[in-house]
Amino acid sequence: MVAIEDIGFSVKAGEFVALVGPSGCGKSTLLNVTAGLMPPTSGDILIDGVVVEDRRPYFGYMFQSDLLMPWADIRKNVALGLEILGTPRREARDRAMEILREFELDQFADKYPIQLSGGMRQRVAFMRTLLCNRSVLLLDEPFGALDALTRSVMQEWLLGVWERTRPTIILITHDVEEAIFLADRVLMMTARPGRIRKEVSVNLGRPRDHSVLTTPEFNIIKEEILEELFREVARSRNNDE
Amino acid sequence: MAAIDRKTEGRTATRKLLSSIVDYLPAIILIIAIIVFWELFNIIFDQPDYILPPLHDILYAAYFHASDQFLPNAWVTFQEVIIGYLVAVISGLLIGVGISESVTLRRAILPLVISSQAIPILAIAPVLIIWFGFVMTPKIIIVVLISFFPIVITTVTGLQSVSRDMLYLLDSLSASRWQVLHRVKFPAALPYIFAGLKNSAVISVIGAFVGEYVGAIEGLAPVMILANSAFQTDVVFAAIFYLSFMGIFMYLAVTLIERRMIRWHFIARGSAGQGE
Repeated sequence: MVAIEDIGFSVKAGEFVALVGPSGCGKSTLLNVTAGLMPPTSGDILIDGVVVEDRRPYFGYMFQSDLLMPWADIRKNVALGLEILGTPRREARDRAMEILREFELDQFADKYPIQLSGGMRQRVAFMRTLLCNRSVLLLDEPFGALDALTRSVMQEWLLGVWERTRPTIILITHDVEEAIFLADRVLMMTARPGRIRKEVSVNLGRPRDHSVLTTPEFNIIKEEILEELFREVARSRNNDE
Repeated sequence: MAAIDRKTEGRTATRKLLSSIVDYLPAIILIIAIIVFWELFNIIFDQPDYILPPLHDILYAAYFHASDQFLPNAWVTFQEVIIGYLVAVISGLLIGVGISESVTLRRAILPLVISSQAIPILAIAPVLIIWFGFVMTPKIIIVVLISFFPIVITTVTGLQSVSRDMLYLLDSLSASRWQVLHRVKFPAALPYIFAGLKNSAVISVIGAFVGEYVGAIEGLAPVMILANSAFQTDVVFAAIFYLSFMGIFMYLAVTLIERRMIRWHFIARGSAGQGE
């Protein structure tokens, strides 16, 4: 079965790109192929214009579930990535502590994941990803499991972190507002087999905060994307029947 | 100041003791109820002692024959249990990891492991006696046979409990198979493994007893067989008490190690409002 087909897009360094689409459109498959966790049946992924044998070192991954290890405290959880990459344990944990301090999460360093709220756990998971210093971050619906209010707080927090550290981010979401609020560019995918149907540039100023959500400019972009999405859902439903 | 501190300290200690008595109250009440019921049953129905000895006779036999019969023989049984159990733990863990991590090993070993559990122990026990004689070896083999299986199964289940996304995450970090196993899969498997270890700890006592029952000179089973043929039912029951204590000891020992090794598991459950 083909999950995605005929997909082409490029992302500039330091850019924040969001992919939206109906559920089951192969968004996660696209990320896995991009990150080099699955081989594509055909096609290439270029990094700085060349095909790279092992793409994994370029990408940092973050998922909807925080994937923190319940048996390790927050500091050790944040250090996991570095330790697996071969940084000596002491140094990895010191650097984990540093980044926790930088983002004011150090008071949780000795806590276990279960003792933190969902939003806090997601921040910790993001610290773990950030600490590995990968050039591109792949975020697979990172706030999908959070309640609406926590999600908005987390979105602003993520923007703040991104503005400070400026990694390249590819975000997958089915939340159109989230995509527009965060990204420079929104790519819309079709239902299976997933293709890129449309691309929308988000010309909203930065830095942004939640007040942008109620501006007319925001709503115009939102309307444009939603209309296309509804058309796409209707189309795929007709195809099923 | 210090005196007051000591006073409040004493008070909290008393409170702690009280609350732990309250915690164990159901167990204490149940045991007292069983004792009362047993003694009353004997008085009311006036059973001959060789059919159902009164409880105090059993306790007396357990005490009176402790040094000349029970303790030396229990020590023999206990050695079989401990050695067999340790071999079962090591082999169970290794087989579990092998089955979980290698498709080839799974195909090769799993059918054998399962069929080993379908063998009636009572059928092969006499054969083992013929092969090895009236020594400890056949008993230890039976202990291993009977107690390694739960460890294999819980190890496999535990190692496979890690989510697919977690494995993707580790793959994205180019983690080696060894790193995945010892950094994530094994710690995740520990709560499962300890469930198996506790199960095995208790049934290992049964294994040693069955092994002794078909042919042994020393151990609690020969004591029981002898007492049975002499209609010393109180001694039979006393031997059962010793076996039960051995089972409880094994269980508690594993529980203590569990508390130390996976403290996080209990912290997690505690703060989620489901205290032990």
